[in-house]
Amino acid sequence: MRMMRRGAAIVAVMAALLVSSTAPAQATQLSPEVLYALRAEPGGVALTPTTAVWPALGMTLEVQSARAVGSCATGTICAYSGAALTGTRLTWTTCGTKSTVAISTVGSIANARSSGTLSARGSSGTVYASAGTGASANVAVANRPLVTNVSC
Amino acid sequence: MNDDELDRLIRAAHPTRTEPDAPLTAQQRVTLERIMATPSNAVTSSRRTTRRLLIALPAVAVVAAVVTFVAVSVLIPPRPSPAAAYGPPPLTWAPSSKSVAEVVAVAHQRLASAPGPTIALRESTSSSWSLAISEAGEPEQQIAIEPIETELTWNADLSGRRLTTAGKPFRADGVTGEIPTTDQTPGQVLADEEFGAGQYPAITPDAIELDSRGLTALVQVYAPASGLAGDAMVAVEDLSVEWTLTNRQEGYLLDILASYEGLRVEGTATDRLGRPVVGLSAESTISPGETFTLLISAATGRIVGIQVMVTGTTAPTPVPVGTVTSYALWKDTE
Repeated sequence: MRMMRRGAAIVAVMAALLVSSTAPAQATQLSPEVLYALRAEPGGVALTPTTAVWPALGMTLEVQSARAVGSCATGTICAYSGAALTGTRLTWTTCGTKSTVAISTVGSIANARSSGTLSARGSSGTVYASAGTGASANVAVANRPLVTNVSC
Repeated sequence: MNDDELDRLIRAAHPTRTEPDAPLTAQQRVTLERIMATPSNAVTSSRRTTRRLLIALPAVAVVAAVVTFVAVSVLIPPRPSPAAAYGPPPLTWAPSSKSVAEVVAVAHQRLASAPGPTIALRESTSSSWSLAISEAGEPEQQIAIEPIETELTWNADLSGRRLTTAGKPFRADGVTGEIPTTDQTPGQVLADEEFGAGQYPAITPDAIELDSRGLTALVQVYAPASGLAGDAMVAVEDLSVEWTLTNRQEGYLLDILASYEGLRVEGTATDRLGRPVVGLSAESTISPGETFTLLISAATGRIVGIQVMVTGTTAPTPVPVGTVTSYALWKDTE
């Protein structure tokens, strides 16, 4: 997520966009981050599902789009029994602490969500691998049996 | 419900005018729901009621049949097709009389004349599939297996690109008939990842210079004891998913594998890309209850694939013994 201030000249352009971009139907397509920001900071308008501007503030919010990571589909988080996204795959569509007990080892994880960091953790909370947005990570072979959950 | 209400409901339903296969009208659905919502103990036990119920029995039978049909078709979730399976058909092996040492010796002969890179390449092209487990922890049954094709190229500075596309679907184990339409079309891009410098998460960042000693040390990280042949195969898989090794290095790996106990010759088969292969199998302690089978090209002697199958009840994945849970096929040099 990145915020930046732009010059006052953009205000006039944004004012025109304000008129045409407030259709209620579009709200369901907005990324959660954009939706949150529009509610938290009045006066904003969405340009795309991942971009919003606040003309009066000269502020733009750009959220990095979610993207698939290997076989881990867009918007999901995945844990694989093998390294490099190989082997049996566990998939979740929501964040939280997720048990990986259905696979004996976790060799890699993938984070195909638009925000947050996914971690492969042991029962004591030790983090063995972390993957940022749109990325994957491998778990060292010695630690693969120690991973009991993933968390984001 | 009293008698008058029951009479009114039965009249409203017009059961005798309803064609046997006719769908329920909206009015009939409302009536049916009202009947289902009425507690059964509201019906009195008077003679009059009994007589009226006997008269109305055919109509009640029709309503009961409708209720049963609705309950079965709506309330009970559809079962997966009996033909659905958790994985692809296992490879079919023709027995071989060769020992592990003899298989490796033949592979060395092939490697000596087969084409191959002169230096290990940071690239890997594969066709693979793996079992998916849903959010509820249930393995997903399927009628069609949808493999993915992966083209990975990366560099010493850990920059690179991984392109994942949909492969050609085929029938799951035991499925017959036409392959159903799938969500993905062959060639469809599923993921296109660009890695900037330092971003590619390499398992083995540098294998270019690995000779027999270096590869032995690497494999021993995975399989420190001589009885861990299956774990040694995991090391081979981790190398193969991101490197295209030289033929000499492939030969080293086969020698290292052959030094482990418990390795057995599965036989010969045709892999899922139509290539003749020889299989070497072993159980893994890294993945209990699963057997790893390494596929060696009968044409080049190179390691060209791996298949993982549940063979024991200690496997954590709740699928029947004999289910293939994943496979990967790497590009051969010929």
